[in-house]
Amino acid sequence: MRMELSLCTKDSFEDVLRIYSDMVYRLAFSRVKNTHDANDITQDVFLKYIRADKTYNDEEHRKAWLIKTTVNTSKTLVLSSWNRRRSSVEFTDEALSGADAFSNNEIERFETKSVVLSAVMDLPKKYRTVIHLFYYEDLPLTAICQATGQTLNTVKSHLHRARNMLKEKLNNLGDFKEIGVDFNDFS
Amino acid sequence: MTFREAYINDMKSIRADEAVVNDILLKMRSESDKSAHLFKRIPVTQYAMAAAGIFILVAAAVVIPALLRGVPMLSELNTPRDSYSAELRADNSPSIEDSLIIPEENNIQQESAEYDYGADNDSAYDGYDVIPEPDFAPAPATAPESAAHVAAAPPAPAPAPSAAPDSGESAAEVAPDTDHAADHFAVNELYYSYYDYPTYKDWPDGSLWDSISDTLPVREYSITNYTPEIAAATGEGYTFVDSVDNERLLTNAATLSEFYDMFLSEQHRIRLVGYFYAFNNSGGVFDSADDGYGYFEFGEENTEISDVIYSLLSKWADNTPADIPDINNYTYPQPYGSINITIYNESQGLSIDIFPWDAVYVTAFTFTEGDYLGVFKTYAEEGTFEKLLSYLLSVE
Repeated sequence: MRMELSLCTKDSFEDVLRIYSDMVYRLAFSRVKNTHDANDITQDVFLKYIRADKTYNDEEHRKAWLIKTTVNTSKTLVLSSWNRRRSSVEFTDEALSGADAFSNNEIERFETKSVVLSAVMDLPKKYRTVIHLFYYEDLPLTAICQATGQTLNTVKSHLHRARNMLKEKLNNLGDFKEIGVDFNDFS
Repeated sequence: MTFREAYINDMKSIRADEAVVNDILLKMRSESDKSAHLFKRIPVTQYAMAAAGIFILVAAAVVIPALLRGVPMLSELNTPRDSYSAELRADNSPSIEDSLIIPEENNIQQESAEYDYGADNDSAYDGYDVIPEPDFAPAPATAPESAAHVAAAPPAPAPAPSAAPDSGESAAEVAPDTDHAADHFAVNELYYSYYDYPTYKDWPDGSLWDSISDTLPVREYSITNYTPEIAAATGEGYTFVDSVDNERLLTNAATLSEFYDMFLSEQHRIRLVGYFYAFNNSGGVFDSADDGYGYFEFGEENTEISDVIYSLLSKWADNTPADIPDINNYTYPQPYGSINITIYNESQGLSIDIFPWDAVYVTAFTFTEGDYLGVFKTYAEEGTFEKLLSYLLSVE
């Protein structure tokens, strides 16, 4: 059914890259909040992937490996001396690569919509990661525990705090009901 | 629209750069080609033919000399049992048939006594029509013989003389562990290759960071070369300049000495979080026991910095895989590791990256993204940990 299911051979790394590059990049971006480091991490992760030459039980296993490696690679980058350069332009239009193709009207709409993303990016990193894995990657909490190396209670508390922060942040920004977003619905 | 739907919609606009993906693809192909290179050079069929040839040669080498020495052929081994048994009995040894006869109970007891099973073992067989298991343990009398045999074995050949130079320096002092160094190169090249950074074939003769800063291409900040001592003595601040836009001054921070004073003073007991990690070349997954490294994170309010540093060092010592050598012997461990100490309070922090094989990097930062105060490299010589520790403790 899903394209990933056809990826059981380890030789199909091009397919792996094609399918998971955005996933890895988005997760990396959600952690480091800048495109350059996210690109670095994406490259590192896939080169580690090809070098690891692992056999995966299934696509979930492969995806979990990539997610965990992305988290750890970004940890390494953030905590290491490699991370010595920081651009003050962390979250810009450059990050929103899709914006280039938008008309002015669309950009306005895009910016309105990206309020949610901006709010998430304003969270501390530990909360961003949990929010991203839970809401975008749709991972269960146990999988988030494995990916982040945190206990279940820690993940739960991070998710809870992140939701509260987002509610406060988004509701302070104004009423977005006109674009159909209910910022109190965190289901 | 729920938060989830809105977030997914927004996140979909963030995509990996196509050029980057293509670049990764090229590198992945290159990696794949490297791993397949050996097999491409020698096709499998040739492997099979080579193996068959070796087998024939070995077989000929064994069989032909045996024939020349007159070893009995199979037909000769099929000697009629009677004559063969008669030959064997000529020295009063038991016949094959005799040895195959199941002994009666008396024989069992006799054999048990002979093999000294002991009283308990003897009683264990009483009343049971059970054949004792053969004693596969060597007879006591044979053990000294074995030991003597081993002791009498000719000594192992002396190791080949080392290639130490005539100057008298040991090989370890002269030549770095090039294998490990090569592994380290691979990772550095891996990291930097995306930006076409130079490769560091001349490292480890010099400092890694020096070689980077000397040939620094784009997208790196020029880094001032201050040591803590210089900063403390001169009180000079730090500047960060983006190499892409050399005119753009990112920050002109407070002095490092002030920074240290603030963070390491008695009045400013800080929350200190230490990370220890050692990682291998391929996985990068910290908590995989298979890869032999560990990841630890701990931190407590109002922790004495010295306690945490000693704790970190202790964890390093306790958990570092055995093949990471003494941190100060300046070899190049594999899997290599680094230690990072991050000190921070609510707004600012100090990150210390210690690379046993190279240097200590200290990063001062604030939690306002993009507002890193500075980075500098300090000790690149041996004794890194001791110098750092003594410095931190002296400041404290």
